[in-house]
Amino acid sequence: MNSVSEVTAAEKERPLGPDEALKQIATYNYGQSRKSLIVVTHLVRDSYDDAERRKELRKGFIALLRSDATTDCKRFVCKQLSIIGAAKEAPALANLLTEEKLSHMARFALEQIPGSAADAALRDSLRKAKGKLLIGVINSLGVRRDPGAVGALSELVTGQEEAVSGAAAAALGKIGDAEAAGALAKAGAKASPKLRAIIIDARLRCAERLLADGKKGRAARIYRALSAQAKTDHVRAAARRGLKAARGPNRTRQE
Amino acid sequence: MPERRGVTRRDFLKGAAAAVAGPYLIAPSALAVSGRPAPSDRIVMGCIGVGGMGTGDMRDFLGNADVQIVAACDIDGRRRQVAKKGLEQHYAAQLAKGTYKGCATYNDFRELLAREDIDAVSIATPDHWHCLLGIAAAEAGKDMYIEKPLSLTIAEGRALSDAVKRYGRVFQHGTQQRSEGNFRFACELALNERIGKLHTIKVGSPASGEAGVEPPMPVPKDFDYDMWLGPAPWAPYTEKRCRTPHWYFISDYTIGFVSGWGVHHVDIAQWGNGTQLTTPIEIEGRGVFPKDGLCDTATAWRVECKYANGVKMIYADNKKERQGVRFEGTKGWVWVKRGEIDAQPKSLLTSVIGPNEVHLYESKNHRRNFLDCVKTRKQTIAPVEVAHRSTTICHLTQIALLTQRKLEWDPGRELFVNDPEANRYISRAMRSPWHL
Repeated sequence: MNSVSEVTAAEKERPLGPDEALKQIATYNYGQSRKSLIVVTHLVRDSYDDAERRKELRKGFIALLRSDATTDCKRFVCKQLSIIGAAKEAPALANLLTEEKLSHMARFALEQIPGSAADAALRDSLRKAKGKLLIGVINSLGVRRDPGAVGALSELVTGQEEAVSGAAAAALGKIGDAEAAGALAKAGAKASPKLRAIIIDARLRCAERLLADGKKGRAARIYRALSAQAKTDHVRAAARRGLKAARGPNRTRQE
Repeated sequence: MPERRGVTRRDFLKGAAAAVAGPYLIAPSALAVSGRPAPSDRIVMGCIGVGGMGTGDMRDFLGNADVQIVAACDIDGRRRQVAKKGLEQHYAAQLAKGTYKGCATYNDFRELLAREDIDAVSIATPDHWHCLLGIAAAEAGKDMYIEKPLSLTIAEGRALSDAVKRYGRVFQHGTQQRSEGNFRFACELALNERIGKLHTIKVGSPASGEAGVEPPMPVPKDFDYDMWLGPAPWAPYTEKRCRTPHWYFISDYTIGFVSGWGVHHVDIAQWGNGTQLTTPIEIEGRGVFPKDGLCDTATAWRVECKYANGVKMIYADNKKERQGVRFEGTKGWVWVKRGEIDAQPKSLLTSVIGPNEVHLYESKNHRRNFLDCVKTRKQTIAPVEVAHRSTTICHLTQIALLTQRKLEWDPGRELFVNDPEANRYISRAMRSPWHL
């Protein structure tokens, strides 16, 4: 018969199954051993070609998010869902967007989940999240370039909280469609100097996006306006370079 | 007092309206006594991040007579004070005066970047801050020297490269091997086919280290931990998380020495392969990661990459591949690392690159090259798009190690081909309020 130490050692090396691994991580806190977390990351990686295993893991992750597992466990779970999360997981993650300690990691997952469910989850939380959490949600909508958010962001950009307005302006710049460009042009007129600087950068980004999408005339109008309004040399030069690009190599006169 | 010219270099850089000295600039006549250029002809700099690497960069910049460093920024109050003291002692000695008070300190980089008198910044923070700071600097109209590696993610690098180009800023990446003659010469031998047709590049780099399980600790006084974390996920303070070398090995802030050290040699491989504005199109490999503890980046790895030009690159830790870069061709090879070069045939080592052959950009001093380009508005030896592409290869390596599958990469679209899951590693959501 094996000695107790041999049996213990053998048990320690036995690979954990998904249920067991997920059970172990439920009590994880920073500053503790990460061994069980590493097992779970391997399960995620190794299930790439195994749809059933993936389904099982996602189900286990959502159960953890809805349980009384530790906050640090839930943060870890969100990170795993950033790799394998799907539309079905979006509502559970959306519930975390208004939680101070979990909002960022919920976005960490949602930003990566393809499809409209994640967009909808983020858009819906625009009405619920406040302060920094709201800014985070706005930032994620910008990263996802969600055109469905332009209306709500256009209202926020002219709101009372300057930090929220700035985030909304930056997000509109990243979305970069014609509607976003229009909202930014309107907002710039009434903005404080600090917000105006953010709006100018957002408009430059918007113009770049329009240019990349072949909308040269629209881009040129933005560049022309910024070239005239710019108060600093580097912004004026940026607008002029953009205008030149929008006109194309053979154009010497204004469109 | 030197004669004042009608249009100074700083006027040229910023435009007359912006060339108004801030409250921290000393009187124009004050420093001209040491034979240095007049203050109005100096490049006014601020240093963001003044730990070990940042202090080294700051000292190097200080050694240039046409630089005036007027501000130091760090989230660690002790480091801020050490930097201020060092700068003020330096300038006091130059003035042959007992004291000099002309260096401001900041905890928040936004205050430093808001100063209109500052032309350029040196950025030497942990990696997860590099691109955010660089983008903010570009938006503020500053030129920048940024320590390597460029980025924490591919998306960050792309955003910084776009911002630098948008605002026409001069940028230098801290891949200073480009300014060492041996590296340039090795690349010229490869590019001019002195080793025959190049088919393989082997790159060896030091690997990440490890740390044990570290307990949460109280945040030290005068250390702005929330700002240190910045865009990274929240985690409790523990000393090793924020101190060199361990932060180099924690994936929330870096991808480890795969980029932190390795980008130096990967960058040289790109230079010698003539592919510095693109990347490989295929990558596959395996790595070893810590089994527990605070650190979680690769302690060993080996990947194989394939370029569109058919060249194969093997990138590994320096136990698997010799430290440095080895270019292998059909007729010989050349190997180079800091301070050493070797080749086969040996005659290559004394050969001269002819006037009609490829001559690469020559810089003998990396920081001086940056300063010269700030003045001339020419491109530096390590410009931002080149930096982004070299660092992207490190990210591709990391993603290949994490996914453990062969990946196809489209360098034009900067996306993995037929692998949407791998594309999820290209960016990371930032903690509010930070965004690219």
